[in-house]
Amino acid sequence: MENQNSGWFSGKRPWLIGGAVIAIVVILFFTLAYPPANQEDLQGTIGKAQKYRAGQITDKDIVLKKPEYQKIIQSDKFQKLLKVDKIQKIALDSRFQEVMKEAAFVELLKDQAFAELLKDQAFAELMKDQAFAELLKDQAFAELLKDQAFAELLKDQAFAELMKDQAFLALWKDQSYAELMKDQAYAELLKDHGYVELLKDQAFVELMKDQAFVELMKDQAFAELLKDQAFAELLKDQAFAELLKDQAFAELLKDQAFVELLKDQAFADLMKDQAFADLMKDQAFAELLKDQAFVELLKDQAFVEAMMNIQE
Amino acid sequence: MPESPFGFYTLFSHATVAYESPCLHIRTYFNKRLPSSTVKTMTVLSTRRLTVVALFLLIGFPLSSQVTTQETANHRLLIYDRGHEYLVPHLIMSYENALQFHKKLFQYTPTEKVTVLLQDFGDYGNGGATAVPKNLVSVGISPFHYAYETSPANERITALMNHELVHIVALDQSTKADRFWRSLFLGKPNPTKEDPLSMFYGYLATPRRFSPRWYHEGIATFLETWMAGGIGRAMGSYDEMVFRTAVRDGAYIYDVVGLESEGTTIDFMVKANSYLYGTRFMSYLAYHYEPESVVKWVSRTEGSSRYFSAQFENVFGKSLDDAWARWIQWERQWQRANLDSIRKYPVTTHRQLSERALGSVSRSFYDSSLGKIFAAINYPGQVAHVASIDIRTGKIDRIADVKGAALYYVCSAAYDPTTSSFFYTTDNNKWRDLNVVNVRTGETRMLIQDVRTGDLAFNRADKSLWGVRHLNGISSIVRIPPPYREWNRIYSLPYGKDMFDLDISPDGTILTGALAEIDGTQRLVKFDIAKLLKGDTSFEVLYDFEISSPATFAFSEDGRYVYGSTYYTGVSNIVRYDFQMKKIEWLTNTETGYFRPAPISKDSMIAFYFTGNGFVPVSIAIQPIEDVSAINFLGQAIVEKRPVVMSWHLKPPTLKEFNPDSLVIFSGAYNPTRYFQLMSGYPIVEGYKDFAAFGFRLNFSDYLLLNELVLTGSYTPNQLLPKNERWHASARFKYWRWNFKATYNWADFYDLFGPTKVGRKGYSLGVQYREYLVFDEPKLMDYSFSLTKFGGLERLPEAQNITVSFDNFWSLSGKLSYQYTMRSLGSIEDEKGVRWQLLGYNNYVNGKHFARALGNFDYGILLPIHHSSIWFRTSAGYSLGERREPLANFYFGGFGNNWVDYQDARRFREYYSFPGVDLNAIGGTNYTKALIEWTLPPLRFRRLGFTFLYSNWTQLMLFSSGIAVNLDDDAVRRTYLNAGAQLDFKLVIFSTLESTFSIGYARAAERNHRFTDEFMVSLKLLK
Repeated sequence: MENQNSGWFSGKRPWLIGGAVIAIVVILFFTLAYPPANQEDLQGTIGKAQKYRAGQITDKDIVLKKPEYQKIIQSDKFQKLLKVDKIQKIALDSRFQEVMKEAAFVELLKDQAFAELLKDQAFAELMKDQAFAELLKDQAFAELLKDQAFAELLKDQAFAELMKDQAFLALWKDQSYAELMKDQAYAELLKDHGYVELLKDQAFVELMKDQAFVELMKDQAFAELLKDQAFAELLKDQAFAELLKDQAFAELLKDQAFVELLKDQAFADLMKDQAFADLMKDQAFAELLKDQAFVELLKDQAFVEAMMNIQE
Repeated sequence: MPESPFGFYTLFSHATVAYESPCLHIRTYFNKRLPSSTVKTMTVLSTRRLTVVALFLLIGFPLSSQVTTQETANHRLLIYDRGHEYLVPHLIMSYENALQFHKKLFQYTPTEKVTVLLQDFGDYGNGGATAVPKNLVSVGISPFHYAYETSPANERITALMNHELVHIVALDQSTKADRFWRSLFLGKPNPTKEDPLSMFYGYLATPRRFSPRWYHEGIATFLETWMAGGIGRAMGSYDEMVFRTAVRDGAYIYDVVGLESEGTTIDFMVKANSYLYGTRFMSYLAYHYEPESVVKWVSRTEGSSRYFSAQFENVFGKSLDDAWARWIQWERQWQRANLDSIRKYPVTTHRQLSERALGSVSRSFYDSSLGKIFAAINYPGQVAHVASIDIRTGKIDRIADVKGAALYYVCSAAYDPTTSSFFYTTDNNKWRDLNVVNVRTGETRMLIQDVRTGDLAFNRADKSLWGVRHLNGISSIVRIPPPYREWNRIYSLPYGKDMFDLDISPDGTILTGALAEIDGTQRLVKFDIAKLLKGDTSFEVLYDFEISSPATFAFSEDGRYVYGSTYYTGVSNIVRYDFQMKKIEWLTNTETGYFRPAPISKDSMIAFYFTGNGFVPVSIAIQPIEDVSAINFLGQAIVEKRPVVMSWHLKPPTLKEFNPDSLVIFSGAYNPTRYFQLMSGYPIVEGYKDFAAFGFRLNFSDYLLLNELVLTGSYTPNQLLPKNERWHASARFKYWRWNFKATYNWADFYDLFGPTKVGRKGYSLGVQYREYLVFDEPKLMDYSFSLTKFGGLERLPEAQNITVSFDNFWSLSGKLSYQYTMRSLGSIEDEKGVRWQLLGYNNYVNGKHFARALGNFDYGILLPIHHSSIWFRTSAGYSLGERREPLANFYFGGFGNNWVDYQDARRFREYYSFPGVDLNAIGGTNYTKALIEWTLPPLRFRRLGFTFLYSNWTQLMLFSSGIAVNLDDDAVRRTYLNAGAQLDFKLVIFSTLESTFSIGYARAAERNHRFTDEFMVSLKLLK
């Protein structure tokens, strides 16, 4: 027994010990000496100056207040914007300053989507525009900007994209539209989700540049109508858009009865019907629509019901 | 506004802004930035930079169109730009943390709050502090410039607070006796040249303010190093290099008087020498005595001596002169040991490429097709300029002046060899402009004003410029595509990180640069340009240089290497990074320092070799070496011998200790009315006619000195004076761009001395409006209008020897002025350029108008002789009034200096002066005048005087002028010629108060008349 167990170097033990030693050496090497420290990259004996250095301040020690804003401020687009005289004048406008104090607007401005929007070249161009500048100073628009719902709208990625759209931006610069934006009813409408969706439609954007339509948009009843989902769909239709630009039809649209009719799903469907759309594009029918008598007829409840029944 | 004769004490010497009176700079800054068309009311509200207002309207900060303040119990933080608000919590915490430290170390008890102005006036960080009339600190938030490691790279707000508060303590700390005088003078009097007795009052109330710059900067820089845990110039490689080089070359090391009189003007580092010497001397004292003794010397505690040099003797038991001499002796030994250490291994040899040292230099570029190096250079005696150096002949040719050169790096530069375009920045101490000069034709163009971008690099692949832009304390990498009219932001670094010394590989794919971290560590990094342009800001660290700068790394032609310099061993040597082998190779071992390498072939490079007179371009063989010894640092020796300095390490403030939300006790608008208060009041003596008057002066202002009111009242007790002339009073009110002035029997201190009298019987009531049309220093254009009512007069207000037949009149005047003058390092005054003025007056007397107009035009050229200029000064005027009416005439004559004076000592240059004849002896309703002047180089004194009174220099001016009056009528036409000389001596009293002693002689003659002589002696008090 004694012989069998005698000696550290008998049997497999030497291999085990040797292996362990090698393993320790390897571990120590990789732990302490590899990869080589930077100064080991240097050739020969490059003496490093001895300098006392205590623990230093780190970024965690520095308390800053909303440093993320700097990312926006530093951008070239934003800096260019600030050099525009009109922007500077807006900045000094007391009403606009009041808006800026509103918590909702402040929150909006912190929003990433809106921040991106501010950096956008197209939006920057918009900010330079005189009409838009005037709009920004308007009391009603200022109120709108304070509104939480509108703030949410502005933060909406889709809306942000829309804001970058050249056609839409051109609309904002349009004097007629600027007037509309100041309208209280329209301001309410802007907060409506359905309407926001509608705003993204190119045809509708074109329509909104029309003076008569702008007048129509200011109407309370029509504003209500615009919030209607079905009507919103209808508005996106090109033919209907053309019709809407007509003065007589616009007058018709202001009528309460006709507005009620338009809100009707069935009638709305009719309006969206291709055949009906074609009909509406027809010059003669268009002329008919402008006819006062026909319009009166359209307002007639019985006639309307009849039309709806026909469709059914 | 009486301007401070002191200027600010500053953290970094290249920040010229800090040498100016803070109020002057703040006011002119706002003047510049504010479009005049938008000024509706003269309120602080209208002073804000409108772009900044717009910015924050747009990003949603609550708007306030005023300068805002946040007050704690200890300080009042002022912010004029909401873009700086993100730093407020950090600044408040850093301030309170530093103050707590200094209160303990110096046993300092603040007697008032410190006003802290957060500003972004310049593209590189700077700070300033003053204690008179109130404690005020200016904090420039831009990143520091790290050229040659003259500034530390650690977090700057902390560094600034640590440093500037040392100044506040050293300036403001008081004994009971000081506080007694402060109560007697109703505050801390600011020495003003109008009432020079204020010098003595100032000394009684704030004695340590009357100490030299090296003393204040020395203690601040010394302490700042230890507060930062060893990062700072007490441990500085540049400082070691300057003294090592001086010892190696056997150069003169200035004594305690010579430093201020000659040492801060004679070499390219000028006033920065105050920092160098001051820090070094403080370090020596700490090493040989005790660091606590240094603090005791600076402390103004009970029992301490009033004057700084007397207190030195109290603490160290020997005179300041003696200790300084011992330091110089010790310094030589210390540096010889370091030189021996360097020489253990072969020292690199080089070939000098220029005729002379170039002073400070920008990045340089070698154009092999022309065989020339192009760089911007700056040395005393000549205005900073872009120059070419022919590497075969060493000939240096001037290409274009550099407006607003920086002290150490001159300007940022890049070069396009295909079009011979040298891009460079101007206004380098303020908001930088981008310019280009064609090095073949010398044609210059400004490309972008206020681009605020430096560290330029040229991308040969697409010809775009890249650089680092500073705004609101943030560094952004920007790209400037051809035609270089607009910039695009590529990447904004988080606060506290900074990039500098960019370069771009020849193929345009890689951008390299030095990346500085908040903790002061610096790494050489590379970006993939294609990725950067797509918004991927990831980078690869090529080498970590720890707390040494990877300085000015530039690509080799083949793109395999970047060559740069590093103080890794304590000495700046050239190294290169091999992109293939991914390693650093050492290329030189020098005794002084090599900088700014530019490889020109595979086996040779250009570099700049440090000498006491500046940098010298040299050619060095590229040969990797294996052995370089490190040197020892005095700072490290202090740590080892005097470990107490390690206990001065100030740990970062925590929210638990210094929560800004709980510290701030007031937050709101900075209302100048609310803060407008009495700053000081003291007795005065004035002269009225030939009698002395005794009275009192009151000084009011707000904390930023934006608005000021000065009231004086005095009484002449002499019975020889009529009763109605015994009382004297004046009031001056400066409110933004408006000046109001009222006088009653005006008396003046200087009327006590000499022939010139400015005091007048009667009263005056005037208002002036002044505004800048161009404020692009040194290019300035401004206009002003004045309306004044005079009453009870007996003599003309502007001509003391002309009596009047009326006793009251109205005077309306307007002035349009332009000047674009330049000066070189170490200059005494402007040395070249152009200056003109158009003035119009209309005096209204007894229903009659007396209109006059005149114009002045000066043009100066700088001669090849350093600091020597020729100036041509011309003037012409015309009056519509009748010749017999005194008000319709122009009057000339005399030097115009009083025996004791406060106005410009070189009065012979004024249009109304004509040395050699009596005051007002020449008169006429129209005139032309021309003067030629040769200003000789100043003779500087290495030592002439003592610490409390010495002379800096003397300068001689030779001049000759001619004048013709009444040109329209042969019968009364008179023509005079003169020639003369004036010799000025600059004197310094109490270490800081500059005065000028002048003597002059001139001889004049009217045509066909005999010569007359004038001899002038004058002492002009204060600046």
